[in-house]
Amino acid sequence: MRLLTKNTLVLLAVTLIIFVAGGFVFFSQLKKIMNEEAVEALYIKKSEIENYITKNKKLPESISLEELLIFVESKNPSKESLNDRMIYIEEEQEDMPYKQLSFNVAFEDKNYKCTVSKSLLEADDLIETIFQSFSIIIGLLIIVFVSINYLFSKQIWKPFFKTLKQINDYEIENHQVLNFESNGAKEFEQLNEAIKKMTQKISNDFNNLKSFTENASHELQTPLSIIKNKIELLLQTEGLTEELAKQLLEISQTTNRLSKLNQTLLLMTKIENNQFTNTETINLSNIVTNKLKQFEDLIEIKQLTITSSIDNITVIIHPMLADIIVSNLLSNAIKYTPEKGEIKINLNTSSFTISNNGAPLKAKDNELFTRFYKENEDSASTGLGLALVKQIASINKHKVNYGYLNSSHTFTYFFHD
Amino acid sequence: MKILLVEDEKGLSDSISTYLKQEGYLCEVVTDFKSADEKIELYQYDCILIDINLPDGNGLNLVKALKRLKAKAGIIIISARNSVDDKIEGLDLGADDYLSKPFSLAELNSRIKSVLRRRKFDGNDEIVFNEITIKPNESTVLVNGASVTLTKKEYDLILFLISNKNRILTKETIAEHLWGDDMDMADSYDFIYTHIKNLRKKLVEKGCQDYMKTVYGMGYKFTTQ
Repeated sequence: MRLLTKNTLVLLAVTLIIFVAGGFVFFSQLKKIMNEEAVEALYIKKSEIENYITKNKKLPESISLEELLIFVESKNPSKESLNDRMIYIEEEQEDMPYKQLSFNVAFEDKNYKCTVSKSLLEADDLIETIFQSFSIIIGLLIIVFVSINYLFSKQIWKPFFKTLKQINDYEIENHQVLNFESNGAKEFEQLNEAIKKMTQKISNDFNNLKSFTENASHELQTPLSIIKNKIELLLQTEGLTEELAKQLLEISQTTNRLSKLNQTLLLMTKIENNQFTNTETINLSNIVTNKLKQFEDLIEIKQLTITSSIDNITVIIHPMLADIIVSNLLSNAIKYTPEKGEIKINLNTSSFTISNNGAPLKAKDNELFTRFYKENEDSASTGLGLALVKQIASINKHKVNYGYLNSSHTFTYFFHD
Repeated sequence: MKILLVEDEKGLSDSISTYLKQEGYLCEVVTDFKSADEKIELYQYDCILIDINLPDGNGLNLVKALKRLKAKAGIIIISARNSVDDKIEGLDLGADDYLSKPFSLAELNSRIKSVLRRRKFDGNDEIVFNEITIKPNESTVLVNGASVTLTKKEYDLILFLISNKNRILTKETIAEHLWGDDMDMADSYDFIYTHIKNLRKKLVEKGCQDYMKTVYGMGYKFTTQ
């Protein structure tokens, strides 16, 4: 529910409750006053009648109409009484509310019961009018509330939505600190100030983390270097037994793997940190041809057949990343194609496709692109090659897909998303 | 040949200087920018190996200083930062080569030799090993004066083996030298054997002794013994 709707509904509910309760109180108060007024009027009439009798020495004439004034002779003096009655009025053809006061009048040794009446219709009319006015006021208020809310909310909330848009567009990789224009509303200024501080902190933390990761990665290379070189020196030792040499070699290979892993992670961090934004127009066809040449020894020794259809195309990308895409996809294919297998390469304006035959994978389609995913416990693989390709695709707004069809693994790298 | 090694990491400088001394170089080691700066002002070196990250300064400034001094020394940058930008900057400043850590000592040795050849003899020197003569500026190999037709890989291979003669070169080291980083995905380094075999055959055909020994399980060694 929109804040605006919520706000309006609450306001409406509260207004309604206040008006109903207020109306009720007002109504009963008014009724009470009207009643008292009527009673007072009746007593005034009573004293007027008594005065009249004293002055004129005769009874005033009865006015039976609407029983305004009635004298009825009675044997005993009647008690004074005040009551409400409904009297049928012919002109209106219905019962009307009246207040009546009956009192005793002694005149010429006779007792008369005098009844004076006052119509309460006026009071009822008044109450009705007031009730109607109330309803109109409520109605108007509701309309005004809703209109004001809807008409002015856009204006009032404008800075808020502006801020919201900026937050939505915020990308941590851009290392930006959000800056907002002054908008006059204190609450929004506070919000903007808080967001600005937050993005500043995020930016700082991000930079710290970034340099930490990079530094940590670099620092690791030196000890790895030392290990590698010490082993190299050890390998030259005279009289080294074959068993020892074998173990030293294994240490050396593991060190190389560790170093490669570290370098790849560093590369991924750098890509994540947008350090490869300097794109150039790259002739991908050349890269593919060169890589094929570079890998030709591997292709030859596995007796692989390469079928390629390479169009002369260019892509706008960072040169190093272009190299990684081709190199990783191609070396992946060479590595997992069985001996005497076939690799098909297709490069055209929209995509770069490499397919090779082989047994189906255990991996679910795109699981292959997960970091550290390994189909086999192959110790020499870093499990990062395809993840890296995926990452490169994502920062360049490209797309990379894997599919298995007719005993053939196909990787397609699209130059669009 | 005098080499100055500027490297703050003792473990690394020890290994490098040991290897280089075995190769017959005179190797001096300094561990900080300040002493390196003093050394290059005072002495002449044939080759200087500079680590970029020094505790008290940036190694690239040493390259600048060397250029200002118009030093004849070859400069090889060794850095833990495998960054293209650093590499380009280093080479632009006038360094001859750039090696990122971790590197193999054999690789460093071969780079030093290559830099020295270019610097000292403008590439016109010849590498002579018994009946084998290599002319690096022409990329040709002669056996007993007769030229041997080699592929690019075979030529690189013999140059690398001779540069590190009498040392065991692991298949990994050879692969890294000949094919670069990308070959580390190879399951085995059997493909090196093909090149060794072909190279050996071509040399022996011209009447060359078989100096290339297979060290079982480890790699290859170019040796007279």
